Amino acid sequence: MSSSVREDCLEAILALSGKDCRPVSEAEVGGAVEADTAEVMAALRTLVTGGDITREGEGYMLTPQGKKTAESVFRKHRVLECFLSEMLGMDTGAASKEACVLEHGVSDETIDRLSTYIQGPGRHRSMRRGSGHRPRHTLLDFAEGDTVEVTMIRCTGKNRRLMDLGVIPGEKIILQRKLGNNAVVVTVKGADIALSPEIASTIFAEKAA
Amino acid sequence: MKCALVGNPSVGKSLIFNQLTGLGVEVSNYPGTTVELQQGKLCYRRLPLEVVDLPGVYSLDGDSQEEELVRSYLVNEPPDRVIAVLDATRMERNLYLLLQLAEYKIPTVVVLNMIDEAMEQGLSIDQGKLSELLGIPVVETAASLGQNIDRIVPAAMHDAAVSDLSVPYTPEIEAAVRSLEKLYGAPRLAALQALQGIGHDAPLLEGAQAIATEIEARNHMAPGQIIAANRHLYARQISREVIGAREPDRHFSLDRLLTKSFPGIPILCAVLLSMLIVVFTAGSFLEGLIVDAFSTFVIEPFSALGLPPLLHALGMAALLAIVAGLGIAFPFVFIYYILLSIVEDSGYLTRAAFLADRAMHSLGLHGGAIIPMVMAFGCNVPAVMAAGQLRTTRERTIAAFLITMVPCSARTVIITGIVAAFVGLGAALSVYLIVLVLVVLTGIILARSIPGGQYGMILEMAPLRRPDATLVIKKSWQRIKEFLFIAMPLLLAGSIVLGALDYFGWVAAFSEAVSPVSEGLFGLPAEATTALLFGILRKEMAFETLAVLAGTADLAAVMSAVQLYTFAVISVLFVPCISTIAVLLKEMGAKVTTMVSAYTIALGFFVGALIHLITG
Repeated sequence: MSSSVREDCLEAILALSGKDCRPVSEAEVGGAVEADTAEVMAALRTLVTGGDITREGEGYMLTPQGKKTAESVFRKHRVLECFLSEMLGMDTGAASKEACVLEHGVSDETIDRLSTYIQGPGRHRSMRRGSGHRPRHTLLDFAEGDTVEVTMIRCTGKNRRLMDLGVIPGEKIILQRKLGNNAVVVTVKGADIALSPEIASTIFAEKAA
Repeated sequence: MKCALVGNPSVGKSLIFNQLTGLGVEVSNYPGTTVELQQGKLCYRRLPLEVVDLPGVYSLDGDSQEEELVRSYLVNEPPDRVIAVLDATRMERNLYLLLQLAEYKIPTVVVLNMIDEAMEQGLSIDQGKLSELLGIPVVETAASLGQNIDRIVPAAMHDAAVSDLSVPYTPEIEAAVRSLEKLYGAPRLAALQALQGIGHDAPLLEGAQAIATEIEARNHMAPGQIIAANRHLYARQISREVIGAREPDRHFSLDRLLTKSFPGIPILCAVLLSMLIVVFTAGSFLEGLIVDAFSTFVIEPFSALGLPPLLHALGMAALLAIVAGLGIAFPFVFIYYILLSIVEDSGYLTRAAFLADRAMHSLGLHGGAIIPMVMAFGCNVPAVMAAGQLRTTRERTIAAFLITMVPCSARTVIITGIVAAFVGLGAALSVYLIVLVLVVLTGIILARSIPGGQYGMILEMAPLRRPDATLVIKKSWQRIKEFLFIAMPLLLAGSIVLGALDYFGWVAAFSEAVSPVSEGLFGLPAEATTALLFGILRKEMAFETLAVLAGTADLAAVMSAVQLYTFAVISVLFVPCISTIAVLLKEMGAKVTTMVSAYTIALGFFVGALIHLITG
């Protein structure tokens, strides 16, 4: 939580200090950041300790390191803002506010609210399924010859090839062969794919109707 | 004009390339990788045309070496035309790649290959509809029968078009792409790639990452997954529109046998064993013919010339090197490569990988690693290169150790030329057995001692097909070329240097110096140890050097059976040859190379000493 306030403070100092890099006072930062004064004060203290900002008389200045972080936060903010307005058709002001929260990791409530709002009727069926119920069976729980529908895949990042071969949620595959050590052959989109046991166990499925 | 062939693995791309270009093919490594690119030239109506065969890939957004290569090739040096080869029997998955390809906006022609197999399976494909949907011309071919291959180039030259096909992505992906286009001025393709973390534009990647995190938080699915799902869905829609009804396909009765533990594993062992036996017997037979012919027609006339002693010694050394290299190694290496190409092209190797998965797991590898391991029987150099593509350092290290222990054809020459020829076939096979046991033990120990997770295999089993004879010969020829043009000169030069050293009495001095060690530790004559040392240059040189030093090709006259056996075992086990060391250094780094070298030296000497101890 406090990290988001810290990032907001950095961004505020970057925005307020302007071209001539004047020091920004506590009051100014507090006015720009939507948080309790106490929180802002704490965040500023941490930033000073962390070497992101320095105290200059009545105000604060960004160090080179702090400037880098602030600019990165600013860019992230901008791109998220654009993304949201593209997607929601929101007016820029509202999107900007939303993005302000989003950029630090959104609260669950916001996600839910946004998701319900965004989810149109045309969305792919399998995508909604990922979140809700936990699938219980992996490929290894089925017998040779079974046709199953993939419900979820764990750690897809590690096994991008699975995705490219067509093993994705919603896909119907046939368990062609299962050896004693649980190495399997599955038929996906007409092709036979051999999988090691540890890969097969990341694929969750349910029996296809 | 430059054309690139793009397609999934085993769609018949190489066969088409081969039929388009004929001979005159140039194989090069793509800069910075070990993936080979084949380039050929041809003339079409007096216009020179360059054809590049890109490696087979499943996706253009993947992270394998091949996929990265194809992607960077298409971006950095875009060809004028793309010939997209599709497997008609696996339409949907092939369209998935084509949809990605369409995003590169290069004029393309689609080659719908294996149309004969598709018809056999009762698949009917509406070619006109496909062409209309894709907005690019489609040529139906059956490369294995040579059908319609002549239509590819004209279609590519005159009709190729940029497809206006565009995958309908989910609103979030589209919004993300639009944002990146707007804020960074990135083209659509770059934006899509950046969302999946691909590209070199740091600010764009940073922005894309921020959005990607956001998308993943909402969907519990990374943009890459959503994009892939969208493409698969669209590919399915297209293929449903063009493919008529098909009967369920129940044709792989042979596969049923091959992939079952029984009789699959006995068949696998039989295949590997018979490969070795064929190499043994056919190789020795050819070797005999060549050596005889060589002695009658070259060596005897040369001896009769009565040249001055120095010239005679050097000439003799050179001739012996040629006999050893050409006349001995050539039959073995070439026959092995032909067998390997047949096994590879028939699709059997992927079944072998599946069956071997379990055994390879206990060595800390997975079934996919059997391909470099089997390749190593031919030559360790391409095998180490192939192993460089394994995913983790742990796998690569283990594979490096095991591969360099596998007896390559140069070592097969030692085993057959020394043990099989002078001791017996059983003894020769026992050398293989010793090596096999040591490979397994080494693998088990390494798997337990090197920390790190175990990764699995995801391998498409290529359909079983009759290998194309021309392609097999061509592939084997390309593999043997490395041996002929790189190893032979080394062998020749080394042999002449050795002949000179011998002439001036330096070899004798060296032999005298090592003789206590050699005789005491291994019970070998001193010149055998000298020969071992030269074996580092090129493995079969140990054999050839021994022949030079002993002054005769009939080794049984100068050494006992046990001595020959010990010599062979040590030279098979210890230190990879110089070219393997070089490629290890490049692929695996200095640390692994040093470890592998030290380990194999220790192992070779230890086993050698042990045999001497036992046989007393």
